[in-house]
Amino acid sequence: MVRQRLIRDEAPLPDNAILVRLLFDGYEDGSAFDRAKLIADATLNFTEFGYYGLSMCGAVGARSLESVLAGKFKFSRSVALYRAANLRDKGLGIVPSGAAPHYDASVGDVYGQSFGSVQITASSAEDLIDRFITAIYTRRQNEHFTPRPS
Amino acid sequence: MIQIDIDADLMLVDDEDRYIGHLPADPSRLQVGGIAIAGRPGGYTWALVEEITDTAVYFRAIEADEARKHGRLELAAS
Repeated sequence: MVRQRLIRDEAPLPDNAILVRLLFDGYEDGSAFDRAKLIADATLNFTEFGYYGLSMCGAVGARSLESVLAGKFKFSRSVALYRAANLRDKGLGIVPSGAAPHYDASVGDVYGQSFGSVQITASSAEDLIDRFITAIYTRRQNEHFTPRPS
Repeated sequence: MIQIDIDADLMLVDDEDRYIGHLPADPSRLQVGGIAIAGRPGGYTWALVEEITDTAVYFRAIEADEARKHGRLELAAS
């Protein structure tokens, strides 16, 4: 059953806004992301909410990066930090979805709205992920990492 | 290596801030109100299962103390 996702009515993020993605999937070959898993994640978003999206967390407004890393991101030893401009440069839209500070990196329209600068008429999970994993990001160790379950 | 019950990126949440994980191959091992381990080998959490659909598992991340209250605090090896 596809659910209607809340899309927050807020101004587009400035280009220097920071969006965070957990890096659970570091591999022996040095790659930071597992393409197949990310495609599955984007597809799950489609299954649940009707559009391809990859969840991110904004370190914006009153939410400092440190507070984000010490909060929901304490699951992860390291994170990938993206500037909003880095995602837009790849034609990705940044969708203010669900409860703040959740965002989706997405391709194509979302419920009839366009969030990216590139018109994509035939969006796919593969297209989204190929754009995402080639975007520029900074890898950072999370000094707030707390091993769980403990 | 830890056994993950619910494969989840621990980033996808619904509008109620519940995490959403992939439905496991054998979802009968999960039950609403039950405790599981969700995430991926690089990072995971105790999870309180709130909803199981045909496509996904909705859960909340909980601390060890709450998992203990539900009677599960052992880690299974795969």
